[in-house]
Amino acid sequence: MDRRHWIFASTACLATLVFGVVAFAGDFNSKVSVGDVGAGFQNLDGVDGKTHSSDDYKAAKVLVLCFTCNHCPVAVAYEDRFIEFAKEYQSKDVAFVAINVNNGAADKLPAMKQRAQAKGFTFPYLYDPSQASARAYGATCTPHLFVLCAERKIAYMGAFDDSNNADRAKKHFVKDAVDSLLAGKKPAVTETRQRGCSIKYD
Amino acid sequence: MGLVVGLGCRPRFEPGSSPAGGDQPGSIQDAAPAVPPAQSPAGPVLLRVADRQVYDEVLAKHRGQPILVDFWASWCVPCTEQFPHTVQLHAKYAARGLTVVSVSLDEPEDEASVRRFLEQQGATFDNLLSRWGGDDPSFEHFDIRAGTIPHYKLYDRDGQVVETFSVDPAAARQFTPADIEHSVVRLLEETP
Repeated sequence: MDRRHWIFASTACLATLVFGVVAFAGDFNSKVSVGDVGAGFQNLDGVDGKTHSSDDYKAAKVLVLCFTCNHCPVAVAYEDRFIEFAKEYQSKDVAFVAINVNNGAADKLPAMKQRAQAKGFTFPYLYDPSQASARAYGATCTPHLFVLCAERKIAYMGAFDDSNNADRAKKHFVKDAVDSLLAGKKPAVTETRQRGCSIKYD
Repeated sequence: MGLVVGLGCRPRFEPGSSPAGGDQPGSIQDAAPAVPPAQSPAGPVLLRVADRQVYDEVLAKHRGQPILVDFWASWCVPCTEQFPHTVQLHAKYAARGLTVVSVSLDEPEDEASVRRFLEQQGATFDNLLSRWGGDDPSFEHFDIRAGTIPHYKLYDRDGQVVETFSVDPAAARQFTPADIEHSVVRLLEETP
């Protein structure tokens, strides 16, 4: 990215660190806080048949990690919103990456491939059977989102928006956070409570 | 099959989805497995839409007894799979003084199908339906920090929360129904 964008992005990142929650963990997250450097991931199988690592997305100004799965009705209710978001923001150098860590048959890679194809997912959908990526973020449910700025610090974490029902969603937390970062500003809302089905930790 | 249909094998967050049960186009096939009732259905169950005040009133009504609260929703598969265990705990320990309460995070407009599920389960205890459904205010008002169900709270005889059971990404192993029963028994064995 060019120097001017880098300066904006860094400023937003630093602002997040300084003004982020100074606590051992977030309001709704026992593992990470806003401002923490988000953990990377390595060599996760994607539904595209390739392996993916977080470094693959290092050119992105913003990286949105979405812990989700196939079967949870809440996650399913959000699929169209994820598809739309990923499509719209790809041209703005924002990467949206979905990761499933559930190991039940309904959620494993073959089922993931089927779902991604049937719905026409516009984003990488990765399988992490070790569940380490989700644990590293303290992810509790599907879907659970983490917006990472240019320096991969957590700038926002929690729910995608304020209603499982798309027609009733009024506050678009992830979009707003990403828009702020792209404009070189710290998100107005840095953390909300995530909502969904519990991740099935082994 | 009737049990499965009654539980709502359908997307639960589509606008205008019928609360009356029955398969909808595009229904999710694995949204909820058939769960056998712990006993033959006991007939009509107590169910009402509630906010935090009503919840507190129900707890206060049973002050002096340990109370297990089961937070669930029909869109949460582990919740519906584990609900029979909650019914069994009630059957086993009510005579020893255990109170059981359930709180559903289904949408209030789905009260009829929630009631059907509870009847099929034989939920002969207080059942509440959060007026905020699956939205954030439910998690906020009922103190479910991690935003996820299944979630259980165990109150002692003084009405204090002594234990919660919730997903924990940092834990080496996740809680099971056996853990809940173990804690219930321990609490019952404490002398009042």
